[in-house]
Amino acid sequence: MNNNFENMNVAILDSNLLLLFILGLNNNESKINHPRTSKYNIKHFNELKNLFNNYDYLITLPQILLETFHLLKHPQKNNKTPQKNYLYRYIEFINKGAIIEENVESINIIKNNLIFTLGYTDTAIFLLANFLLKKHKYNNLVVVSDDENLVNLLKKYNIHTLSFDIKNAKLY
Amino acid sequence: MNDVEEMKNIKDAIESAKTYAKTIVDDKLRNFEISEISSSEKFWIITLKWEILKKKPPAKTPMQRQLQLLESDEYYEEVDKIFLVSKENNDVKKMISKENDEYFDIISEID
Repeated sequence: MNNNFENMNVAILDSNLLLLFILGLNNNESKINHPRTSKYNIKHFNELKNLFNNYDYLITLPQILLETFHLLKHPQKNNKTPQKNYLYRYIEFINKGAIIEENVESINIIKNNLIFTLGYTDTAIFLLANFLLKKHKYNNLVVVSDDENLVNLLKKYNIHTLSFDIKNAKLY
Repeated sequence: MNDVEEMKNIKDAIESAKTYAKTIVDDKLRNFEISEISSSEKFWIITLKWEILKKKPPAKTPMQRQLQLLESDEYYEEVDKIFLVSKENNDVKKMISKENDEYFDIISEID
């Protein structure tokens, strides 16, 4: 793995879009079969994949992984596929070094007033993105989120942010 | 032997075959699955199927490499192997290629 992070382009996905990515890795059907991703289909997943073709690593946080794992356990109608089967391909990404885990201390999330508007995980994402931008740790950082509050705040702080035009399955 | 005991024995035999296979092909495999189970007097005859990486995609980063692997089948090839697992102690006695026309002879010879 190339550890010269200053030259790296990295992306952070919020929990819903990480869920879409994990489900999409396993699902060739037009609908991504989960209540939290019902507005998305395989075109949205392909758009995420196209984006990642221009990025070197996916950045994640324990908070994002925890929330996504809980979302993955949400009961799925008419779908008996065990959660571990969905995670199998994502774990391949982890095993091959495509995912970098960063850390935001829980006490710093709890102490921040943003938690009351953004919630726990999105506050962690904001704090991380802001920190990485200030430290210039990576060459190019993008946050991909479908949470309007988070997207607006990130843009206010000049953090490169993308969200979905749901109808056209395009990131903008 | 009752049905529950037999199921447990089959499960253990499958695990034994899987462990054996994974030891040989390390982490370059994907889509590991059981395609057939039968038995002879002394052996469980378990056919396992997987895909093995035959060449690396030309990507520069791990992320791009994994995406290329997802999008194309040209980097993997399918493999079928038959494992003869001892009913007595779950040891894998032999691994045979499915393409091997003589595998019935081999089974009867060691059974």
